[in-house]
Formats: sequence, C-alpha cells, structure tokens
Amino acid sequence: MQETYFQPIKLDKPVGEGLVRRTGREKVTGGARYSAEWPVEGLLYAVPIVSTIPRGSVTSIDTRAAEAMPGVRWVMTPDNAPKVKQLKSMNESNFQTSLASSIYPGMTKEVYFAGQYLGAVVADTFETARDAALAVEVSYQPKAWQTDIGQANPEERPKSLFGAPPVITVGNVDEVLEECEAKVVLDFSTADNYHNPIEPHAAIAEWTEKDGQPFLKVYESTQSLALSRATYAQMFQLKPSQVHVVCKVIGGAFGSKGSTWPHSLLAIFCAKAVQAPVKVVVSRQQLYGGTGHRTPTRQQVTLGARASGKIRSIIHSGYATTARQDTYSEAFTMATRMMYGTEALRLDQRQCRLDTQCPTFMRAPAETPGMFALESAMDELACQLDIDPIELRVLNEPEKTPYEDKPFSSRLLIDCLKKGAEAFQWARRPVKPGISRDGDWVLGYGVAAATYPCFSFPTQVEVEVRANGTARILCCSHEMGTGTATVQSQLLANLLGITANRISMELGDTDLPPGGLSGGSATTMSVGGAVQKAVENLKRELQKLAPKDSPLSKAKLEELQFAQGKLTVSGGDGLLIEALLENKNRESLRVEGAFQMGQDSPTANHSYGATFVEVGVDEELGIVRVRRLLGCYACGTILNSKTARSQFLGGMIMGIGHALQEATVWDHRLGRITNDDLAEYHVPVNADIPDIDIHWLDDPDFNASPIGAKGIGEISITGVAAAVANAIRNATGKRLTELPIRPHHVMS
Amino acid sequence: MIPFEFLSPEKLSDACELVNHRECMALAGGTTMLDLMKLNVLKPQRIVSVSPLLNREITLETDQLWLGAGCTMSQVADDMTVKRYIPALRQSLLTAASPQIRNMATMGGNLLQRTRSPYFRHPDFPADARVEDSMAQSLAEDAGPVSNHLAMLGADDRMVGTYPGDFGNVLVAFGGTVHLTGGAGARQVPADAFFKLEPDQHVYSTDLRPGELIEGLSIPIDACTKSSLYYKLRERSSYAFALCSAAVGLELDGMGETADIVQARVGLGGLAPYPWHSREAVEALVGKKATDANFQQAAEVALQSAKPLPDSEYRLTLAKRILVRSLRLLRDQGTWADSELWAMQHGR
Repeated sequence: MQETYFQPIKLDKPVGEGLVRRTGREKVTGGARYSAEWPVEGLLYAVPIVSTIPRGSVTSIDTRAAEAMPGVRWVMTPDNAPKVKQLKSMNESNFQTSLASSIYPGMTKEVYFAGQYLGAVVADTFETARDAALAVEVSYQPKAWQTDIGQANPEERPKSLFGAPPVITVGNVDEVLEECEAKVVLDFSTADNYHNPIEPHAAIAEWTEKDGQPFLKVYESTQSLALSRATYAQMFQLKPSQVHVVCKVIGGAFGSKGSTWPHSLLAIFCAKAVQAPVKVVVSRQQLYGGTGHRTPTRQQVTLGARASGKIRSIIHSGYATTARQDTYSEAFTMATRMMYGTEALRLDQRQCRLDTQCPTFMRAPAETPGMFALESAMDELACQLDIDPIELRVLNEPEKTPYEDKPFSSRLLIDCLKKGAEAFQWARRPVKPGISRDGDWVLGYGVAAATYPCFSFPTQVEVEVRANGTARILCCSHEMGTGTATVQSQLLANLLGITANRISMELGDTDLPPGGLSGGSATTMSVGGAVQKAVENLKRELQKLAPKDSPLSKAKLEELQFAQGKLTVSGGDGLLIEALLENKNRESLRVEGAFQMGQDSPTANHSYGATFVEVGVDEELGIVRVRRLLGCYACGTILNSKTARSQFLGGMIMGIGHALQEATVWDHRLGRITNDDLAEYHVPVNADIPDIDIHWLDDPDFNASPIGAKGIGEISITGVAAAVANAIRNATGKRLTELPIRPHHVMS
Repeated sequence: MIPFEFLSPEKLSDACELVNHRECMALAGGTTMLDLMKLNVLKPQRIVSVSPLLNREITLETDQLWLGAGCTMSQVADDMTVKRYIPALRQSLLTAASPQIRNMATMGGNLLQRTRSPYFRHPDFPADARVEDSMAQSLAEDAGPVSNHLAMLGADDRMVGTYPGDFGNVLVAFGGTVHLTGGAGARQVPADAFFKLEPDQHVYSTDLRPGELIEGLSIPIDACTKSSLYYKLRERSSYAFALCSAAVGLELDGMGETADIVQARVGLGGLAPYPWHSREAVEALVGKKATDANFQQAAEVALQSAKPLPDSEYRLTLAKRILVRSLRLLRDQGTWADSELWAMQHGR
C-alpha cells in the first residue's frame, strides 16, 4: 500500500547530477536575448512622465515643449489617454489578473505615490523620448502624505493572509504565558527592500492584425506569461489567441517580475495609440516606485517557556504597509503557524497605508521578515535559559502543526541542524560574548532555522518523443536563471531512461501549453508534476503503436514502464520508443500532461533548513563582516546539484544583504527615496561574501510533491538575517532587532 | 541624454581654450560625468575629450611626487614609488570605487568628483529641498537619516552633500598641490585652497577657471608620507562611499607612547563638502607625546566644529574613533601591508 499522498517514482540519474545550466553560456557571452533586445521593425520608444510628489493631484501638464521636439510622435497624458477596461489587480482578484496595481499608467490625475506614471512620451529614439519627457512640465496640488511606517496608523486588518485570517488563536496565550518560567519579548523592525534585478524591467508591444482581427504581441520580462496574456485579453476584450506574450530569458526577478507593472501597460497603450511597436525600459531610478518592493514591517514576538526550554506560548504580532489605493498583505507571521510546538499560539497582523507604490512579493516574502523575528526570539530564549540554540529547537520540535493540526509532509529540521552543526564545527562556538577575538574583531557564531512552504500552480505541458530518439518538453514556463529547462530535461530523461542531452525544452512563449506563475518556488514541482503526468499518458499512447500480439500491446497499463529508452512490460521485454514510432511510420508523438495540486492535502507541506553564520564584529567601529556561511536544507529531491547549489547560494547572499545592507533612505519631508541607485542602495558585493558551504538532505517528499522535489529558490534567504543577528549576539552580547543591522546599531 | 557636441582637439592648449566647465566640459575617464549627465544633473552642450592629451607620468624628483592628471587610479595605485613613499595614497585608491572604475577614472577627474548629496543628484526633487537653508532644522528627530552622505564639517548649517572621493583627502592632508594649465598660463594652487564652499552654494566649487585644466598633482615626500595610512570606514567591504575616513601621517622620534610627535598629517573624508584638512588636529599633535590620550585629544579637536544632522551623530563618533585608531596603528605597527588592508576591509 502506498504510504504517501503521491505514488513515489523512481529517481535515478541523470536526476541529481550537476549538469551545466542551459542558457548559462548564452547569458554570460551576451547571446541570450532579453525582453528589451528583440529586433522589431519600426520600433518607437516611450519614456514615462513620472510624478515627483507622493500625494496630490495634477493641475496641469504642459506638453508643448515636448511635442515641439523633432522625432516626438505622441505625448500621452490623462487628457488624451485611451479608454481601457478597468480590471482588478492580482492581489484583489486572487490571481485572476497579473496587474500589480489598479492604477493604470497615464490614466489619472490623482497622484498616489512618487514615481507614478502620469503619462509618456513616444519618440523615434530613446534619447529623444527621454529628453522630451524631461521637458514636460507638470504642476501639482499636493495633499498631505505619509511615507514613514513609523508615523503611520497601523489599525487596519488585512482581509486575508494567504487564505488565513489575520488573527489566529490557539489556546489562551496570556494565561499560559503567566505560568511560564521563562519569557522573551522582542520588538523588531525591518526595512523596505527593492529587488534591483540587473536586467531592467522592459516591454515591447506591437499591435497588428491576424485573420482580420486585432493581434497584440508583447515581449516583456515577466515571471507570469500565461496570466499576462489572459490579462491583456480581458483588458482589450480579445480572445486569448489574439494575444501573444514572449519572454525567453530573465536576468533576475526575485518577485518583481511576478506581476504586470505599469511600464508594460504603457508600452501596450502607446503602441495602440501610435499604431507602431513601442518599447519601454524602466531605468534604475524608475524602479524605485515603478516595480514594487518588500514592505517594511514592525513586529513583536513573545515566547513563554518552561525552565527546561519547552515552549508553551507564542505570540507573533505586528504590521506591514500597503499602498493607499492598492492592497498587498505581507503574511509575515505565516511561518510561526507551524515552526514550533506550543500549547497556545496567537498571530495578530495589522497593516497601514502609505503613499508609496504597492509592495509586492520579494524573495520569500512572508518568511524573510517573519523568520528574522521568530528565530531571533528563539535565540534569545536559548541565551536566557543558557541552552544551546540547536537543543532548544530539538526540544520544541512539533509532531503536528499547532494551527491546522496536520502532520508534516516531511520535516527534517533537526536533521538539517545537526548535519549543519557538524559541518560548521558548531561545537567551537564561543561559550559567551567577547571571548573569541582576532585583532580588532570579536567573533561569534549564530544559527537559525529556515523554512518555505511548498507551493504549486496549475501547469500543462506537452511531451514529444521523436523517431530520431530525442524528446522535448513544451511549456509556457520561465527561465529566470534557475535552470528550468535543464532540470526538467533531467527529470524526463530519468522517467524515460535516456540521457538528458537527448531532451530539449521550449518555454517562455504563450503559444506553448500554459505554465503557472514562476514564483513561490513553485516551478520545478508544477512543471515536473505535469511532465510526470505526460509520461504516464505517453505509455498509453505508445502502447497503441506496439505490434499486435506483442507482449507490450497485451500488457496492462500499470505494467508498462520505461527503461533505457524502451517501453517495457514491468521492466522486462520491451521496444525502444523510436522503434515503436517507426513501427507505425510516425515521425513523432505528442502527449499532454497536466498537474494541479488538490485542495485536500492531508499534510502540511513545507521545506526546512538550517543556516549557520560566523561573524567578525568591530565593536568600536560598528562594522560587521560575515566570515563563514553554511546552509543545510531539506527540500525533497534535488534534481540538479549544480543549479540547486546556485539557488541556495543566491538566496544566502541576498540574505546577507537583507541582514546588513539593503534599505532605502527616505526624505519623508519630500516623500522621496534619496538612495535610488546601486552605489548607495547597497547589495552585497563579491568582497562581502566568504566561502559558502551548502549541504542538503536529498530525501524525496512524495506527500508534498508528485516528483518528490520541493522548491529551492527562496528557502535559503529565510534564515540568514536571524543567523547573522544571533551571531552578533554571540560575539557581543547585543541583541539587535532592526534590519538592516548598521554601524550605529552595533557600535559600542 | 540631452544632445551634445563631442570635440577631440589635438593639443591640450586647444582643449583648454574650449572648456569653460559649464556648457563646455572636459571629459577624461567619464566615470562621474556620464553618470551625472544620465541623471540630468550636468547638461553640457559641448564635451571636449581630454583623455588622450593629459599627462600620464608618475615621477619622484627632489622629494616631489608628480602624478599626471591623466594617470588612471589603477596606474597610480599599482605604482611602486607610490606604494613605497606614500602608502596612504595607494590605500585611498584601492579602497575607492571598483576595479572597473579605477581602470577608467583619471586622477584629475577623481579630484573633481561631485557631491553625493541626494538634492544635488535629483534635479526632479522640489527645488526648495535643495536650496532652502533651514532644511536641516525641518528634519524630524526620529525620522532617520535622509542620507548617509550629508556633511557635518564645514557645512555652515546647510544641507550639503559630502565629498565622496578618497584620494583628495590624502592630497590635502599631505600638503599636495594642484598644477593648472591653460588660461593665462600655468598656475599652482595648494590642494586645500583649491576647494571652497561659497556662502550661497550647496555644492563645493573649485579654483578651476574657465580655460584651465588640471595638468597634474604633486605631493612633497617626507617622513610623514612614508609613515602614512588611509583608513576608510564603509558599510560593505568594497564599492561603497565612506561613512568617514582618515588620511594620517606621523613622524615620530622614539617608540610607543613615549615617542615625540615631530610632524603629523591629518585629513578627513566623508564628513565635509570637500576634502578636509584638519590643521587643528595637526597642531594638537605636533610636539606632543604619541600617547593614546593625545591622539584622543587631537580627534576631539579635529571634530570640534562638527554639526551632525539628526541621526548622524554616530558618524561623528566613528570619525573620532578611526582617527585615533589610525594614529595608534601608525605608532604601534606602521602602515598596512596589502594583506592587512584586505583583512581590514573584509574582516577575515
């Protein structure tokens, strides 16, 4: 009898091998074609006119100087903007549209944030369009604004946090807390972060006719092609077949390309108006207020425990921000629903509205700020009780989730902590602050748990096998640098018993079967689940090609297996796929596969991991440098050891930025960001990053995933900030609760 | 980008005749200028390419180190004479920018880096944010710093951005000279007289006149340059502007805290609108014993006139601390070997 939710599949080579990522060479040699780079005949360029105040209304827009410039084709303003059907945003329509905001570019004179697109200039060249956009004079009637989370009113309750209510109560936290021998109460604040992908957000839109009907083609950098197409079709009342969206490669997204930001709409609106293809590329400055950000948060975590360290009461509360007009609710307490066993639990979230652009997903949106708070509090409890922080987590390992009362699909947190501890030589951790020194540096070790939920999106694929012995996967998924084509080829190679170099994958085009949004670390499992379904269908279709009276044609479907490129009866006699195709004189055979996770999963499906950090702290100067970094993760099957390692590395490096560097600096008097460039908005540089040691437990999780593999793109950022703060605590005795941790926090 | 005309004269004297540093500007490495043109801060109508015309020599004659204005930062940083005779100069260059920028940027251009003030760099900010003198008072006490790069020294209560360069701080501290060419003929200006902040201005100006270009820079080599150090404090290990920095040199007679300070040099970066030469600190040090207490006293004197904006007081504290630490380092172990410089930046 099957003990797991999904029927386990045999996972064998090339699954797990470190094959080099396809498109890797093209990307590093300049051959990859990014969305802004498609050659389109007759292309015009649009540059947005952006608001320079955070709140108010436009009293006049003087476009005369711009319009007089040679090469300017059109200046779009709310006075002459086309009428377009108003749709709800992605967050407000529950993923029925891809729109980041319901404020369309150039359609309204009401200003809701600095950087809002009030219009655009379309011209023959980018330079002319930019020049002319600068020459447009906008006058405003400002209104009072608030851009500072510290000054805003955080009394609003979010409607929903990933389907859960904003307040969750199990037992009576206050009563239980009263009885606790040990208590930790900490307040945390985290900064707003901007994704800053190196590939700028870009869109090229072109309206033509096809079969006598309007036809819209869009090249855009997006993590959600299929939903973009559906959205544009709804917006212009077109059939999906009248819209074609393409994105072959993405140069960094981190969530900022998960929804449609106004530049794409601007390209489409302008292209329609001037009846020519139009390109919009978002500049580095326009990204701040143009393509979303991670909300700042204010959080409080209270832990109550027995003297032994056994936790009895957990309270995690606080607030995030959203925009005046648009709503995005950051579920920063989500991980606390299931991390540790407790008698009583209270999660309590509120939000405030700021006059900023709407926040959005940014790499592990809920867990990155939330786990910083929870895992810092856990460490403080360990310090208070003088228990090793790993032991504290062992003590509080739950059997079921406190909130949903479900067993875990797989957990392995303790295994990750122990394996990581051994590799990190955790036993050498300084037993108290200030005793381990290297010149001006005082050293400390820190550990924190990491976690990320197992998400998936409905996905369809086609798998084609060909008489020449090759196969291909077709799916409108995305190549974000994660290696989708590479790892799915490895999976299919394993399922068919052939080598991966005989398999190709086509993606990044809405002419292909619709894939889901590439976010939430969901792509590998979603596409893989569909590929696996397609392989099941392939057995049936190939059987029909087998010679009559052969053992293959007589076999029952459940007896059919692929082995070494053959369709076999229970792994025994069989025929090569090519032979089966030749038998019926077929060049190729194409089958479909579809995956959608049921709503009825009996288990709580998450991944877990452990992050270890050694820091050097110069207390006199307030400087923190990371000396060593180690992560150990349990995310089910690892399909490709090289691309997986890269994903884990990338997340951990971004975690260093989150912990120590990334923050916008605001002049709230102006409601403007003052460090909107890569020189002053710091992300880690190579010199900040020491050797990073990555480990994982390759243990397929067939409760959570049909292919045993869970997502790996986000989990590794989630424990880093807490591990860094905990290491600083170990080095200096200081508990730092504000991110990023900057010199004035650390200085003695 | 606003359209401009690009000129490539064949002789430096022709280039000088063209440039006025306003609508007609000189372009060397371009690492600051193109950035500011893209931001719409600088809008020259004509650009004169001077890179091929500039002096690129590094020489040491009669105790004068000469750096041609066209030398790249990398070239100077890697020069053995510079490394041997004025390590602080090498250190200031190696801890600045990134290798790519150092390979392009010239020494003349490096000296003329514009302020990091967000108000200077954002022409689309409301005009009164840049020019209103009372802005500093309107900052809320608890709103957090509006920028990490606003000046606390020499700003006269104005919200002025800091000078972002590193090399310039060494040049003023060690008595360097700016050699100008063109115009009415060659001129020499002491580096610390080259920069000034006019009463009604929010960006430093220089003594560079229309028709003049920087030909080169010179620094007198002495015992202090040989025992010199540049300490740069920044939030990440590389490619970041200084929160504050110290350029120091010490000539000591004796060992340890009993030594007499014969000569001293002190420059500060990241705190003032232009490279900051602290004569007060030098005066406080010379003739005294090289004790920690005297170093601390010199640091207090150096920062006495500092007026940090709200939430920037920590940078004042940091400035004193790195000044004291730099002087102690020079006294106790001498300047950094490259490996020590690396370790200081990376913390490992």
